[in-house]
Amino acid sequence: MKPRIIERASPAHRVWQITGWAILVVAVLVIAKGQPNYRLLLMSNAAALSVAILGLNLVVGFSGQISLGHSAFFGFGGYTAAVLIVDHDWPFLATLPVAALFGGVLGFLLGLPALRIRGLYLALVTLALAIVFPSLAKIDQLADLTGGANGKPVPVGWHRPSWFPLKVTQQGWQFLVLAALAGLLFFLASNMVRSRAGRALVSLRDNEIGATVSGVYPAGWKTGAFAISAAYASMAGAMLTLAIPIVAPDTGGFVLAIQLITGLVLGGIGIISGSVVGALAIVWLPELTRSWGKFLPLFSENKTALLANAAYGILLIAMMFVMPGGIMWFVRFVRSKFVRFVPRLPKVSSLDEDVEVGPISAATVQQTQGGSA
Amino acid sequence: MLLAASVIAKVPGIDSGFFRLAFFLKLVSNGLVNGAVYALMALTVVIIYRTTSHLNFAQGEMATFGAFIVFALAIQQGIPYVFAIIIAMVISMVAGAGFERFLVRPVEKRSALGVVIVTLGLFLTLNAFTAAIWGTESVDVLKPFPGGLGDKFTFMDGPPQFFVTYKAVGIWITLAVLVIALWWLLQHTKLGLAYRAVASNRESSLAVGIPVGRMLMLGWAISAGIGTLAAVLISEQSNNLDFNLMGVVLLYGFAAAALGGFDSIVGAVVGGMIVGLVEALVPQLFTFIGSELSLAMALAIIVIVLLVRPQGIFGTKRIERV
Repeated sequence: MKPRIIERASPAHRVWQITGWAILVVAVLVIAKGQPNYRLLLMSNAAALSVAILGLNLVVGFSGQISLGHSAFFGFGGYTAAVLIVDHDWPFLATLPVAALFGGVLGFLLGLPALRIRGLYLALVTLALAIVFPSLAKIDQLADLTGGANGKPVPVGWHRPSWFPLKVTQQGWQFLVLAALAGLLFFLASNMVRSRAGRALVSLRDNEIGATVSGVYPAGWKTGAFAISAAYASMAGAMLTLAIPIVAPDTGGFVLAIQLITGLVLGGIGIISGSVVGALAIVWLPELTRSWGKFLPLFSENKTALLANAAYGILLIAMMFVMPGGIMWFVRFVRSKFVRFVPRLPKVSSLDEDVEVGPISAATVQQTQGGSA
Repeated sequence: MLLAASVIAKVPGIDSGFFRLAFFLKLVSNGLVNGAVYALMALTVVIIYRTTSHLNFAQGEMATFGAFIVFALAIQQGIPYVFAIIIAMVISMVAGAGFERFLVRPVEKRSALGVVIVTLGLFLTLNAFTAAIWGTESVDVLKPFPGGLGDKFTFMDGPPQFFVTYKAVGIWITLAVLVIALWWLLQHTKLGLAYRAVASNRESSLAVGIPVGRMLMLGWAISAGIGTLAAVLISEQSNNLDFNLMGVVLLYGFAAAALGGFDSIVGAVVGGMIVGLVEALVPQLFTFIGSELSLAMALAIIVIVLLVRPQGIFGTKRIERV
């Protein structure tokens, strides 16, 4: 069977997109209405983590550098929101832009020295950040601000407003808010990677020297991308305070950083929608492994958290061998057997005005795309 | 770091005790002991980086696992430390070579990012398995050197006394012996020549018939062996042995390697010593920094090196060919 070819931004493509988003919205509403509270809490967690993974995706997938410290930005955003909400009586939503701004500035300052140089220096600096963050959040001098080693409780207490038609529980409402915020941030990100900025980053990732010669300033674009990525992670941390009313030092630690990377790899590096899949996977994995503990003598009793970590680790390695593109890459691969989306080529402006340029046929498009979709 | 906790700073600014010679010397010797262990970790980083340009983020967890093998052999089975450490190092070396051959190399062809991800996966897996096998609590400390109260050389009678424990001397001698052995291996054997050839140019080495793959495995093996030794020493030095033993130490090792230069063995040793000294002296010089923030200094060292001299003190500058 020949796959159907659909040009991007054509009416047919719009129908696909709108249908996709509509299914997503209905799914979110059904989950918020029908699922038990503990599952809604997990889903809220996944919604916040998906934004953090998306942030990581922007830097890994679109600039080819790896950050091992997005947990630190995540934790930093959580603390920013906590301080504003608890100590300054800010409303929850108002803290998000501030968390994003602070996280972005921090990311910019750290990215600046590391991204000037090619290689693994960003990984190094961010690794240090992730290891340092919990110890910074714990120090006594900042205990008034951060609550010290025990963390800081954040009672957001945002209840469902009376005008909202769907009767949902408190957890259901929290999930709806976080899902809506995540949806907005995903929409912005997917537009950004198709913009001038996104194209500049992809060109740098694929051929830095070539891109530089074409007038793309590497350090500037990469640092900018890293700052936005850090802003996303920071905002994700602030978002989570709605569902989990405490921020603790270890939230920002290295283990969360690797979990975020696991989610990214599972979902698919460089694929925006993969971040959602990855977040769902890392939230549900510990739930799955919890019941496996009794079959494995090494991980019996109260070692199920360790089993989850071992599973994350083994999955990370296995993915690199089995499916390096991630789950969404596989989904796209299957989809491309049935329908393919191809970019709309710019109108050909012929230098030779006498020659009539006919519309580009689907077959030509497929050829120029090399069959990839 | 240990001493810093015991010295309570009363006034902000410079600690007055800093200027007493015996106290100062004590700080320096403490810094150099920690520095020696950081130097060992930096060596493990450098040995792998020179041939492959990869950073092994699982280095610390591999070393911790090795230290627990020593624990199982020496403390649980009662085998003498020397043999226990040698057996654990051999096991680590085999495992290190195996990781390179079966986990890293297949992925390496595809992307450098893949290698980072595989080593992170290894980090999580080894960390979880160490904790699952030996528990999350601290177990008996490894004590390969005599560590009693009287086991020290006293240089200046007190108070404050200046002495160097046998343990500290043992750690320095271990580092010295190891560096000399490594130097001899790399500079005076055919094997070392082949390793250096691969480090300098992989393609050309392949062309003249050097078994490049085996050299990469050799690098990982040596690195894993040294890592295990470093973990044993850090357990003795920090009076601790738990599944998170190396999490922080590896960061100091990376800072030391960045400072010395990622491709320089001399740099690793010098970098380790400097990082150890900075960690011991700076919190005393500026008491507001406090010992909790000594970790943040590792971050600061990395950032300053990147800003001032990205290739490190002894490293060679990378030249990109267009």
